[in-house]
Amino acid sequence: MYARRGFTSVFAATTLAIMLGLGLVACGSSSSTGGTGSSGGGDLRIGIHLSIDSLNPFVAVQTSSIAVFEYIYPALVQYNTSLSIVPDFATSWSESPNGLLWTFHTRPHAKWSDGRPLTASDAAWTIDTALKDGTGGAAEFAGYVAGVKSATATTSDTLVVRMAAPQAAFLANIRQMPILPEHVWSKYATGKEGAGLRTYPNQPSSGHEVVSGGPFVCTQYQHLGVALFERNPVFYGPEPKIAGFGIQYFTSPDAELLALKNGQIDAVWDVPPSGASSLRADNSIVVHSQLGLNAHDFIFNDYSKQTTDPELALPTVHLAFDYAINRPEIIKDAFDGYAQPASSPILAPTGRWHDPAIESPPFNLAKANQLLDQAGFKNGSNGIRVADGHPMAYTVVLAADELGAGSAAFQIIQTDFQKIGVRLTLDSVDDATAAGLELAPSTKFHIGMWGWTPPPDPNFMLNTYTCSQWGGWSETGFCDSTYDHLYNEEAAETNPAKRLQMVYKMEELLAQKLPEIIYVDADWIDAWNNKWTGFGETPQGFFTPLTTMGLLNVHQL
Amino acid sequence: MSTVPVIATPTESAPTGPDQTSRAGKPLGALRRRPAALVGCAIVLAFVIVAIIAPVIEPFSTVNPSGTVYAPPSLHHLLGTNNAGIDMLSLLIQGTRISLLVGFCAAVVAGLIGGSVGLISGYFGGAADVILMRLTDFFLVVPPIPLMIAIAAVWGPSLWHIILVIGLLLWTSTARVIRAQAKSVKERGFVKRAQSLGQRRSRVMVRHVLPHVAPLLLANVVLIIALSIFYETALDFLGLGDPTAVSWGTIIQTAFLQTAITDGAWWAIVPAGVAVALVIIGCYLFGQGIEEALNPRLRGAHVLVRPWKLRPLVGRGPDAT
Amino acid sequence: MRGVDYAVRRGLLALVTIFVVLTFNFVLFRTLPGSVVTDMSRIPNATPAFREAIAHEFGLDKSKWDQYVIYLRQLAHGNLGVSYANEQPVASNLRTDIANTVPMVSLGTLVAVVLGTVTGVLAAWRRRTAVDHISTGVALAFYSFPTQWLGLMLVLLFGAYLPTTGMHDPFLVNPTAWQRFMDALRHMILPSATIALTLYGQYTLIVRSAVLETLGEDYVLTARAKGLKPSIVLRRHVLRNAMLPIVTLIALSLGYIVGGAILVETVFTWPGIGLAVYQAVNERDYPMLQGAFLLLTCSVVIFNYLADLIYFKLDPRITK
Repeated sequence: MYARRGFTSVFAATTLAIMLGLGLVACGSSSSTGGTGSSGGGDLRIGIHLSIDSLNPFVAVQTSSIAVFEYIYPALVQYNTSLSIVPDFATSWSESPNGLLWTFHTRPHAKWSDGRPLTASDAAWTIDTALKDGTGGAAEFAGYVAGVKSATATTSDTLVVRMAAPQAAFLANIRQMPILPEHVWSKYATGKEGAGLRTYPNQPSSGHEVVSGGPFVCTQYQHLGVALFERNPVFYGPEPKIAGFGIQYFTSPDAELLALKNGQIDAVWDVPPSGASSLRADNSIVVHSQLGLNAHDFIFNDYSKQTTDPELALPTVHLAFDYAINRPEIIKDAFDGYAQPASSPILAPTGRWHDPAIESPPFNLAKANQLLDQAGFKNGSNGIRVADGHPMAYTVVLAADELGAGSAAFQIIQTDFQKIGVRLTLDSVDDATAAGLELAPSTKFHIGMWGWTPPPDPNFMLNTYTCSQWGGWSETGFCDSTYDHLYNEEAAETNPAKRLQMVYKMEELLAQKLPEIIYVDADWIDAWNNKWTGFGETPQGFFTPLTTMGLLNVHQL
Repeated sequence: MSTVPVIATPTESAPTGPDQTSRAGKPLGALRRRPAALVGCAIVLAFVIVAIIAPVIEPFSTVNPSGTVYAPPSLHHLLGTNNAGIDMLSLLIQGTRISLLVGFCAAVVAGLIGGSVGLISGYFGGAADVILMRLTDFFLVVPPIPLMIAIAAVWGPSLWHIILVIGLLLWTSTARVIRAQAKSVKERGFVKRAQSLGQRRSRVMVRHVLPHVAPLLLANVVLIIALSIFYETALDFLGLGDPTAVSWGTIIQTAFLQTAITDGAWWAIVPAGVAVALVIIGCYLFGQGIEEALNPRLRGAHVLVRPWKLRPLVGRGPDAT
Repeated sequence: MRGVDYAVRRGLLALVTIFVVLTFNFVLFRTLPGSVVTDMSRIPNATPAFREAIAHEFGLDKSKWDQYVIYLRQLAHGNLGVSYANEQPVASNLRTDIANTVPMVSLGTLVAVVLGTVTGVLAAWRRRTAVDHISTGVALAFYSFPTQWLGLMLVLLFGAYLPTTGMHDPFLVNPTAWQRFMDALRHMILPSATIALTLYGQYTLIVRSAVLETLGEDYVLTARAKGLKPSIVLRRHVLRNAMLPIVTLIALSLGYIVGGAILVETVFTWPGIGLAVYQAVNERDYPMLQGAFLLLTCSVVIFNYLADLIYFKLDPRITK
C-alpha cells in the first residue's frame, strides 16, 4: 500500500516537474526579432537547403558558397537584375580594337574591411595567382581567366589585362572572380603550385572577421549551421539597407518553409514547386516565381567508343525520344506548373542569345513510333523494340539533385516510352556517383538525367559540348569537329552581332544532333515574409553569385 | 537507430534437463496459452496477406494520380493523396510488399549466417568457437547505421543491397542464442549416443542438433524481421533506398522532401509510421512468445546482447543477506 | 589477482578489436565508387591537370598499400586526415561536431533511462494489471516507431511552438547568459525528445524483465513474508538487482550515443556528427567518413570495455 502510493506519487511528481520545466522553457526565452540590428535596417534571416561548404574561394563548389563570395568580395563587374553587365569594383572599362587588351578603371580610395587599401593591385594579384597556380591550388579560378596572358596594376586604380587571344566571354568570365586581399592571401600561395591556397580556412574567429571588400563582412560561420554577415562600413559601393543578414542551412525544404511560416526566418531561397502552392495560401508570405536559368536534361551517351548501345548515338533516335517526351504533362504534374518547355540549352532568360527559331517538337507518340520504325527497330515479343540484336531497354542514371521533380518527370517519361517500345529503368544515385559515371568519355552509362543552372553568357553551356570538355564538364561525350570549329570562332569573336550569329549556328547544330534533350526550363521560386521587400530577383533567385543587387535594396516595410 | 537490439542472447542460462525434449516439441501448445503471442502472430499474418493480395485490394493506381495534390482524407480517398495526387492508401498497401520483403529476406540472411555461426561455434567449440565468437564481437561493435550508410553508398541503392547489408549486420545476436542452445543440446543423451556410434561430427550437428535449435532460430528470425524493417525505413529516409520502390520508408522520405509538413499533409506521414510500428510490434510479440514457449527461463535474460546472467546480488547462497 | 587479470584480458581484446576496426575502416572507404575527384572536377572550366592535382594532393594516385601505411602513420599522430569538402583537418571538424551532438543525445538518453526505469519498475511491480499492460504497450509502441517518423511527428505537433532547426537562434539581440542558455535548451527539446522516445521503450522492457525475475526470487518472497515493508523490499533488493542490467545498458548505450543520432540530426538539421556523416557520404568525403566511423566504432569498443569492468565490479562471480 505504502509503497504503491509512495511510488506512484514520486512518479507523478517527476512528471509534473518535467512538464512545468518544459512549459517554462517553451514560453520563456526571448524570441529573435530579426527586426532591430546594430544600426537600424534590421537583420534578414535567409533559409537555404544547399550548405555553404567552405569560405575559401579556392575550395568551395556549392552555389551557395559562391553567392557568399559575391557579397563579401569585390568583383570587377557584375550583372544587374536584367542580366546586363554593370560596373562593380571597376567603374569603367575599355577593350582594345584587336581584343587583346582590356583596361579597367577601379574605384579610388577603396578599403578592405580591416582598413587596408583595396586597389587594382589586389585585382592584379588575384588574376596573376589564378594564372600561375591555375593547374594547382587556384584551379577553381582557371576558368575565370581563360585566355588571359597577364594582369598589371599600372596605377592604384588602373588595371590592365593582356589577353593571349581575344575572348568573347571575357567580361562574363572575369565577373565570376572574387578579388582577394593580397595582404591576407599571398602568404598562403606556397607549396606545389600554390597548394597552400586551399588550406586557409578563411573563417571568422572570435574577434576577427573575414577580411572582406564587398557590401558585407562575414562575422560568423558554422558548417551545416548558420553563417552571419554584417554591413561592411567601408564598402565602396552603395550602402545596403539591411544591417546584416544570416543564412541558415536546413536539411529539407519542409524545414525551411515551416520556419518561414512560423516566423523563425524571413526569406527562403529556392523553394521547390510542391511548397509554393501552400505558401501562396498564406497571406503573410510573398511567393515570387519567374522563368529561371534552370534547365533539366535527358542525357545521351554519345561517346563513339561506347559500343553496347550504338543506336543511342543516332540523331534519329534522339529525335524520336524528343517526340515521346510529354513536356506539358511533365510541367503540370512534375513541376506543378512551375516550368516552361525548353529546347535549346541556351535558355530563354539569356535574352537574345536564345535562338527563337529552335522549338522542341510537340508530344507525338505516333511520330516517335514512326521514326523508330523507319530506323528499322522492330518490335520484339514483349513490346520492346530490338536494335542491333538487343532490346531497347536502358538504365537511366538519375542524380540526387533531381529527386523530386526530376524523378516525377522520369515516371512520366518511362510510361510514355513504353508506348514506343522502349523500356527505361531508374538507377538513382548520389551526385558524386553520377558525376563519376557520366564523366566523358564514359562507357559506364547510357542515359542520364540531371540539370544545369548555367550563367547568362552562352559560352559556358556551348563549351560543355566541345571535345576539350572530355574529362571536364561534358557528360554526353559529344565531339564534333564542325561544332568545335564554330565554338573556337565564337569564343574569340568580339563583334557582338557576328558572335550572335555563330551562337545561333551552334544552337541549330545542337538541335539537329541533340546530344542531350533539354526538356524543361524550371521556374525559380523564392519566398519571403511580406514585412520585407526590395529583393532583387533574377532567374536564379535573390541569393545568387550573379549580382549583389539581390539583397542591396532589401528593407522592412 | 543504432542501439542495443532487443534480442535474446542467453549463454549459461539456457536450460538443460530431460523435460526439454518434450517442451521443444510442443511450442504450439505453449503459444496458445500466450495471448500476446497470438495477437502478434495475427498482426504479422494480416500484413502478409495484405502484401500478397496487394494489387487486388488497392483502390487506386499507385503510379497515376487519382486526386488533387495533398488532398486530405475523405470518403473517396480514405487516407488522402500524396504530393503527386496518388492515393495514399494504395501506396501504403503497395508499400507492404517491399517493406515485408526486405524485412523477411534480411532476417533470413541474418538467420542463415547467425544460425550457422552459432551452430558451428556451439557444437564444435574449441578454435572454431573462439574465432567465430571474436568475429561476432567485432560485428557487434560496429555501429550499424553508419556502416549501413557506407555500404549502401558503396553498392548503390538497390533493394537487394539493402537486404544484404541489413542481414550482414544483424546476425550477431542470433549467433549467440544459437550457440548457447547448441552447447546445451550437445550435452544431451541422444547426441552423445550418436557421437559414440561413430557418426561424423558434422553429420551429428546437422541431423541431431540442428532440429533442436531450429525453433529457437525461427523465433530469433522473427525478432530480426522487426529490426530489419526498422533499419530499412532508416536507410530509405537517408536516401539510400530504391526511390522507385514504394515502401513505407520511401513514403516517409518523400513526404519529408516534398514539403508535406508545410502543406499540412499529416496523412502523408502518419500512416506509414503506424504501419511499421504495427508490424514490428507484431513480430516482437510473436517472436518473444515462441522463445518463451521454447525456453521459459529465457524470460528476462533474453533482452540483453551481452552474455551475462542476471544473478541476484543478494540472495541465495553464502552471499545472501 | 582475478580482477586485474580480467581487466587486462578484456583490455587486450579491446585493443585487437580496435586495430581490426582501423583496417576495416580503411578498406571499406577506399572501395567506394564515385571518387571525390570526379565530383570536385565539376567546377567551371576544370582542366584534367586540376583533377590530377587533386588526386595527387590526397594521395589517391598511390597504391592502396601505400595509402594504408600513410593512414596508419597519420593515425599514430592523431591525424585523421584532411576533409575533402573544406580542406580542414578532420579531427577539428569532428571535435566541433561531437561537441554539438553529445549534449543533445545525452539529454535524450538521460530522460530515456529515467523514464524507462520508472515505467519498467512500475510495470513489474504492478504486474499483469492495467498499469503493466499500458506501460509495456506504450513502451513497445514507441520502440517500434521509426526514429525519423517520431521526429517528424514532433515537428508536426510542436513545430509552431518550439524551434525545429539548429542549435540556437543566431539573431538574438544582446542575449544574457540566461537567455542564451534557455534558447539553446529550447532548440534541444525536440531532438532530445525524439531520442528519448525511441530509446526508452527498450529500457522499460528490460528493466521490467529484470525486476520481474528478481521479484520471483526466494529471498524477496522471504523478505515479504517476514513482513518487511514493500518499499524497503523494493529499494533494498529489487532495485539493487535491477541496477545491474540498467547500468550495463547505460554503459552500452553510451557507446552508441554518438552513433545513434544520424536520423534525428537529419530531421532537425542539428549540426552534429550524425549530420556530418550523412553529408560526408553524399560528398564522398573519405577522410571525414573514415574519421567519424573510427571515432564511433572505437567509442563503442571503449564503452563496452567499461561496461565489462563495471559489470565485473558489480558481480565478480561471472565466469566467462
